[in-house]
Amino acid sequence: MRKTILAILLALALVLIPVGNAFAASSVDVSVYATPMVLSITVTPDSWYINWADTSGGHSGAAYDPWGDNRTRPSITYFSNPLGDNLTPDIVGSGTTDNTECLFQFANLSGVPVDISCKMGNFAGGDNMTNGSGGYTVSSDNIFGASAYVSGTAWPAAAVTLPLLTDAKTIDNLGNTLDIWWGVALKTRTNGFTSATTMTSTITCTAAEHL
Amino acid sequence: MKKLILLIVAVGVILLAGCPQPSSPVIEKPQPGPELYDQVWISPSKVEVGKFYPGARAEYPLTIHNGNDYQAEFSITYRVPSEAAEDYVAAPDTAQDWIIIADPAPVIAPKDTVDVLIAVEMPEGAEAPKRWEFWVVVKDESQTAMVQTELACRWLVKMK
Repeated sequence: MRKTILAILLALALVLIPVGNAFAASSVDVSVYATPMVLSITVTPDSWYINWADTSGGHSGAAYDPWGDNRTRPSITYFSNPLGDNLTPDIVGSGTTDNTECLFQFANLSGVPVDISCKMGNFAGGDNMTNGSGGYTVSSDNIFGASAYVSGTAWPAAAVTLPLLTDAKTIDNLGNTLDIWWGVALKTRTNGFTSATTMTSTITCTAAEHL
Repeated sequence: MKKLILLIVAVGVILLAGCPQPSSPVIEKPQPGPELYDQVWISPSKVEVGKFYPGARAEYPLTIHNGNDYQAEFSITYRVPSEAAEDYVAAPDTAQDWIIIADPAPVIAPKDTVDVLIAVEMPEGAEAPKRWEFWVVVKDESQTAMVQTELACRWLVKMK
């Protein structure tokens, strides 16, 4: 009989001891609510070969290499403009940037509208070129600047600086199932390139539900 | 002796009924369309926590789908938003230590979907704004191109 009582007491103790491990449930009285909306975006294409007629991605022709030498020069502002890497994204003359002046396209596949924020890392490989976070008009020794531009917005007034570390809102309230064209303007460092080695950088774009 | 056992059981039942138990949110599973089978996606896009207080804990699973044709490693990281929702402010610096990500680097098989538990556990005595926001950011680390994407689940926390 004593064993029975001990077993009951032990069972009660085990049930009543609060769970305290890392996978415990939410605390009492705290409400946690979420609707199972899906978040998903794509970007196409995903690369820009600055002043380089890259035939692998179908980016061939004079527009992608307006200087005809497949190399990047110092103190030049380049645009990811399919009409020409040396042409500003208002060359068509509509007063705002057109789709045809943008290389990249975001598609929002989510069930909700999204904001997309971007930042740009330092270049790796070859010569030293780091992001000064000053935008596409600012460069100096070893420092480049970059901005994003979006179709349907005014150039250059609406250009968004691409910082090195913080996320800069580039696209505001892109509706679900919609897409939008955009591009990048980049001013190279002021000192010459010497390594003749390919340099690469990454633009990271973060999508979050628009509230 | 039988009466004693009955008494113990009765007291136990009363204690259980009156003892506050941890609560589990009702978790609705996402229903993505077939067009998302080949895409990377997460769900939910937003988690709202209410009546939060120092010493409390809130949790919700984050669902991640690997739409690639290959196994890929994902990173799951805490981030302070550069711009918080209306009436909210960015999470305080100390909040980083309050976030628990059960598996910050899941390796997901092609076309597979996994759940990773995210929890926020605020220590007793800690302070936070009345309404604050943090993000849980998911990145497919197999991306190698110039433009790479991330997906952020927004956590909106209202204090009691």
